[in-house]
Amino acid sequence: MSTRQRRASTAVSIGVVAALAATLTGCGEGSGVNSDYAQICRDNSTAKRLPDDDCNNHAGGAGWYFLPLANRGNTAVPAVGERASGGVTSLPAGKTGATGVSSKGGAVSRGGFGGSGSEGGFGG
Amino acid sequence: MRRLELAPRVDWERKIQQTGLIYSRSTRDDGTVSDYWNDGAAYTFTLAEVESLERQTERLHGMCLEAARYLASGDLGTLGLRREAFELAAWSLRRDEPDLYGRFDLAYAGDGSPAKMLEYNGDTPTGLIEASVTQWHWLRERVAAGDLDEGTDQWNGIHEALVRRWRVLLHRSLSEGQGGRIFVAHSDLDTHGEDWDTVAYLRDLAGEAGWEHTGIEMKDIGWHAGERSFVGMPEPVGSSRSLFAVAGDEPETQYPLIRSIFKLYPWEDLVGGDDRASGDQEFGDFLVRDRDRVGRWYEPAWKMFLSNKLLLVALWRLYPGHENLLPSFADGPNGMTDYVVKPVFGREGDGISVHRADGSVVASPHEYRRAGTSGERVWQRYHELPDFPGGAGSNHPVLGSWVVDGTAFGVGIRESDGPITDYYCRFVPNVIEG
Repeated sequence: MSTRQRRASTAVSIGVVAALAATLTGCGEGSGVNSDYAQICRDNSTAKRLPDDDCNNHAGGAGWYFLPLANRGNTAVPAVGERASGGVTSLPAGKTGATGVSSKGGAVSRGGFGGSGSEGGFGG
Repeated sequence: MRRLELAPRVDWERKIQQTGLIYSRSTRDDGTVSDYWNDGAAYTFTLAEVESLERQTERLHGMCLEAARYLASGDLGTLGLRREAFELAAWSLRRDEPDLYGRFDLAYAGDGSPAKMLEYNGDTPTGLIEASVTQWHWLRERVAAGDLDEGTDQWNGIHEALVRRWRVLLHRSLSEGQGGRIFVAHSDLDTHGEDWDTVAYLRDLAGEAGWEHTGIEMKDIGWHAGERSFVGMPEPVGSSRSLFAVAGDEPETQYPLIRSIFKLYPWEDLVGGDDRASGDQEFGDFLVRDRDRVGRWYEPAWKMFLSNKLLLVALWRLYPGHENLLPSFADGPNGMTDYVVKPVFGREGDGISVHRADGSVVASPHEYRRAGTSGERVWQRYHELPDFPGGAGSNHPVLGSWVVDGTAFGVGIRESDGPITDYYCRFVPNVIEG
């Protein structure tokens, strides 16, 4: 009688979503380290929002601008080209600023992944 | 190792599709159709051979971890990566971030001599469904039909190993207070369906292990600036059991925060500095800058060391002359007359050229889409794949030896007509002789 361990799986199931009711999920909401201000680039003469690159490149009249994020990153952030007001031009001491705010306004930007132009998949 | 030929099963095309293998058929440039799945053959191992190949695989994995630490020292530069990306990989390695799986490509003569490592797909291994599922169902049917003896075994415990590993990772996530929800991402740019199919299977495995899982396309991953977190697509409030969510832009919607994610997408593209579909932000910078707060990524960033071809050079420096390695160099052929030149990134043979002593050069018609930052390349000694001729001519197999949590769990064998494994190779199932 053979007692060796089999190398083949004893059961292989696919297409079955076994959502175990006992699964616990984490508690708490958010990550607790959210930022206080949204950091955007603004034209100081027109008060309109500019692309971040203008500030990164020190374009004339462009300056960083900090909008308070009242409610966990909520959405009073204007899109590029829209008027930005109600903020401050320097970050108050002890506060944090969120960079990478979508140029379309709103809280979330997308499309930062997934565009490397492969035609045949990314596995190997 | 031997190669058997069997009459293909009746209706085998439908049968393999039912196991999830939907990408078997392809059309060559000349219009002929070829099938990736070979239902008319099998490779057989003795148990002693399997045990030996398992040991060699696990030994190679341990050597690769050592080589990763060597690469992280910077002795071979930043491996064609941006400095920030390289440092992220080193940071991830120091943190010993948990991983899921990988696949060695091995050349094995079939006579008990040491296998030779061709490369390690440590970041985005595919070829998973046929190895884990399709050949397993093939075995069951062949036994039921009397084509193979009752009790015939197969070197393939991949499915169960991955479920166990997902379960460990789930418990770890829960104990770290990061919840039990995982996002599983692929790119919609994969037009063959293999990436979509592979992540669908990985979701099944994660679900079997108890994860709450959500599929997402890479381009749909969002960055929530205020929360400094990656997020999924907006969903109705309360639509998942996970509580990691912030208010959406519309009433009664929420953005789920991504605390765990599996991505079938190369790290060098994630952090490459030019990876954007239609977005206006460079997300790779967030992975670097917010690395300690963007959750668990599977595979983790240190897999950049294992999927980079300079791994081969690091191994040869650390273990010169090792029986499982082929000589490999970063600066030229170093006196070799038969060698293969490989780009540091690259998959499925793109960008590879084979140089032989008679002066002949066979080059892949495709450059890999991403070159290293300094055009880095690796020179590896050419190793002739063995031939197991069959009724239709030559068959040159490569063993894809799967590693889950550092342990060898199975093999997927692909054979080619010629000595270079190409896109038109065939997958052949395996059995262990009683």
